[in-house]
Amino acid sequence: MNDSANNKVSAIAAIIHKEWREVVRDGRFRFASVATVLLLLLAMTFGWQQAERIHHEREAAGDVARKHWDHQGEKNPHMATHYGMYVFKPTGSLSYLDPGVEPYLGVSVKIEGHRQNLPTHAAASDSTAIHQFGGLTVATGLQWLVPLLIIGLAFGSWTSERERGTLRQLASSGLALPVLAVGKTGGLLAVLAALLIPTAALGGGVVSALGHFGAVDVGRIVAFMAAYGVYFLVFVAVTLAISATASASRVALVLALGFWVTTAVVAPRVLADVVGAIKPLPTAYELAHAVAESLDKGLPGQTPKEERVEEFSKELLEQHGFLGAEMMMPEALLQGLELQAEARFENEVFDYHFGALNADIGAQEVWAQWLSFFSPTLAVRSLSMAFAGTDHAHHRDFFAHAEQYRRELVQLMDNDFATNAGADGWDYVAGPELWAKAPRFEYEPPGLFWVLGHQWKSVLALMCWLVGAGVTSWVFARRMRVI
Amino acid sequence: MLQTVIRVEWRNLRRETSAWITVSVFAALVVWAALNGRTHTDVMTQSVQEAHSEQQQQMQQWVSALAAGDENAQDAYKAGKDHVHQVVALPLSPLASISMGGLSDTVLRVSLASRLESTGEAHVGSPVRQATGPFDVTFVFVYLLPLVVIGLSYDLLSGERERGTLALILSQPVSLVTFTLGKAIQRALVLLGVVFTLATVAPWLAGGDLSEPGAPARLGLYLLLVAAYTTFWFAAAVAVNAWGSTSAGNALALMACWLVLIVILPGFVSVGVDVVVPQPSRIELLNLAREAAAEAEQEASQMEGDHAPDRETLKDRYRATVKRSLEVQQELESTVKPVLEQFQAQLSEQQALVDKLRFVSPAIILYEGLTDVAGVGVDRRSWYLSQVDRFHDQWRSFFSEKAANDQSVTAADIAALPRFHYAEEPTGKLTLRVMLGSLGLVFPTAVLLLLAWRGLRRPDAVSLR
Repeated sequence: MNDSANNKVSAIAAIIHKEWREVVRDGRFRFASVATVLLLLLAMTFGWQQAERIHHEREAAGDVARKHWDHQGEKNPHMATHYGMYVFKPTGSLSYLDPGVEPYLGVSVKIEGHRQNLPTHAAASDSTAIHQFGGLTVATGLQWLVPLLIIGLAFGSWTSERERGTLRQLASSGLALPVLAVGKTGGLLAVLAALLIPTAALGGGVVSALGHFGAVDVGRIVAFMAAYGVYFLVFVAVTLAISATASASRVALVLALGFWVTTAVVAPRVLADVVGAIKPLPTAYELAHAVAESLDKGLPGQTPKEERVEEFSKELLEQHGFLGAEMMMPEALLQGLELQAEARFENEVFDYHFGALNADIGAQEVWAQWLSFFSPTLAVRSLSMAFAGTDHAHHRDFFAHAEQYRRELVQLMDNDFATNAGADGWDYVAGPELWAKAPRFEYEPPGLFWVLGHQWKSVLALMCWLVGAGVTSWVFARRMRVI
Repeated sequence: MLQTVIRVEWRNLRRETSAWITVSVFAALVVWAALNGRTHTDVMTQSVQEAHSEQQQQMQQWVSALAAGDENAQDAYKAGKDHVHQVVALPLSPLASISMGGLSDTVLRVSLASRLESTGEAHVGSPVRQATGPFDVTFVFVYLLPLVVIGLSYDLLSGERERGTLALILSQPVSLVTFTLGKAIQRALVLLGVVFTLATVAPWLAGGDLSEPGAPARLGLYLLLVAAYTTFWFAAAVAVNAWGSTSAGNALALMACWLVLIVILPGFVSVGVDVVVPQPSRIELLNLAREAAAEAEQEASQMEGDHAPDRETLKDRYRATVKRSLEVQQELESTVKPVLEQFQAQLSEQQALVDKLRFVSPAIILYEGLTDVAGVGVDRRSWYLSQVDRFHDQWRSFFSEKAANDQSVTAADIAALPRFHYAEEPTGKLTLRVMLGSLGLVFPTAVLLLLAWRGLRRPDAVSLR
């Protein structure tokens, strides 16, 4: 390294040191920093306590539901599908960091014959008004509090130097403004790192001491932290850019707060409405009505119900080698196959309507990700929920698994009826041996790459914000007036 | 002298471009939120209308079948179970558009089904909106109005200090208290004028019928809440200016207040309430209910799942099945009832705690107050659901008694079918709740003004510390 480079490095180190001392000596920021850290730790502890309670509650509920199924007594297997079984969505192991849309979504699905039920029993539907106002979570703290802390730390970075006259002195000493900019950014990042890394470590320690539930997905934790790291860098760069261009500290503060209010408070809600207007969803009533109509008459514009069920019946008869020889079939087998044909038709209806609904919701999410180019908070919010496993894409994945399980269970029961009922027909009963054959419902959330595949637009948006804000800050620092 | 200060401040304010930009942006956001509320209430209204029209259609088909002597239609059990139902909905209040939460699960289908089954339609909501919350008038007033107040008043005094004009002004026969008060009053009056206009226009823009009975009282309470909240934030700004130093310091202190009162304290209350009185769990309720009613539910599912083709042709066996079904349903109801009551009691206990804790933050008071006057609050919902419960009992009795006694339904019975008439919650109850909440805004405002008065009377209040 030559002398010039050495000088720059030592200058940057000196600036970082100076920035560090300035912040550490400021009582207001000491207080704000301690308060932010405490709030984050409290939010994490409360979040963990809630998530753990929910986790155990759902596990216990799953066991009880299974017990109900196993001990339903002797009955006809098809009647057993009407009795059905409840399955419960497991809690994401990072839901204590960001509960996302979990509280608003159903967590239990009734698995039964003839019906694909939507998940129900969302926590929010039985909550008081204060819950609708919003709870304090780690995600809220990271999305709102830390950027405010950054603004508080950085709004005067350039303006206060100018107001005190020290910027002119620094410039006259031969220090290049870009070097000063790197030093100031480094100083701010050092303060933030000193604050947030121990907080994350302490939080991790607290959670480990309290005990884990679910598998610990290190990849998701790292991705979660990286997303927020980039988000904080965006706010550092934006605030420094504002400070470089503002005429006075108060102007810089008002502008930086204005940016925060616009992008973190207003934009996410406004853009969510824009998404809703671009891709409206049917009301619950419209959906229920459309499903009922199709189950009664057949899918819109397609083969009527009776003909479609007949087609499925023929397929099944052909598979069993009885096509054209129905009269020779045992009656129970015929009835069992008819039930299966009807179930196939019902599955087709559910696939059509719920598929359309999920496609619309998926399209809304894609729009929201594109619109996050207008707000880094929207981008990080999407990523945060996705890495925590509490976004709607995870919910849809769970719902698809539950439906797959329902179909397998119904088929298992109807098959047993068709195969074993014989002359008993509807008076045939099965017992605990058959109920025990039904596999236990297990759901594992998808891996990190699946999440990234769904969220690449948010990643891109956040990276664009980082590059855009970084370049702006750099350009403004170079062109900044010294006096 | 106060009048002179107010007059001079008005002249200053007229020339302050940033203030007018802030107010204009705020006005635009209120209009956006109001129009958003209109879309929301339109969807709700349309959804209810569709449900009603389907119900009417079904009813007409049933009536025609009755007239044609169709045995299936005359069968009281089948009629109550499959042919006819009632859609009940909580009517939208004239101010419903200002708050977009809370009404989604109040459109219910009442049928012969047991209460465990008829808990309403599953909610399909936009996950993107659920993640962020709705952009409604309530959000704009609770979250953004204080930011406008802060923007207009953070440098009320410090700006004069920093420009060096404060000493000059105070060399005139005007006290610091009068001067600060005059400036604050002028800005508060302008903002209150804008807010009152917007607050009145917003429900109208959103299609609310303000001539409906009870609408003027709701509008009055709504304006009272918004005015008290605005005044609270102006009082906070005056207090911070009285004790603060630089404009930047004041802005930071006021933002910290905003954060604490609007984000942190409500967040803690929300979490704290769950810790002290855990939120009752529907999942637990579901299992408890299934456990309690295991036998009855199994029998019910067995009857429902019995698709044997000859069952219905055997009349005696069919009648026995119907009677047993009704008995099973009754058993299901009575075993589940105490579990449901316990669940409701736990929910009420939690709400009672929230009602007490709302006084820790003006934002909670305003939020709860606005949802209340919008008619989407917890109390109106409970009031409505208790009426639905009573109606459900009437509806079920009508069909189940006939079915139990082997009586057919005839065309003459149609006029006797129970009808749902929602009786609105007395305005007095709403007024009492909102007025009590308003006290939680007035009291801290008075404390802040007292604090400001003391700060402004300090000997060193004029100088820049």
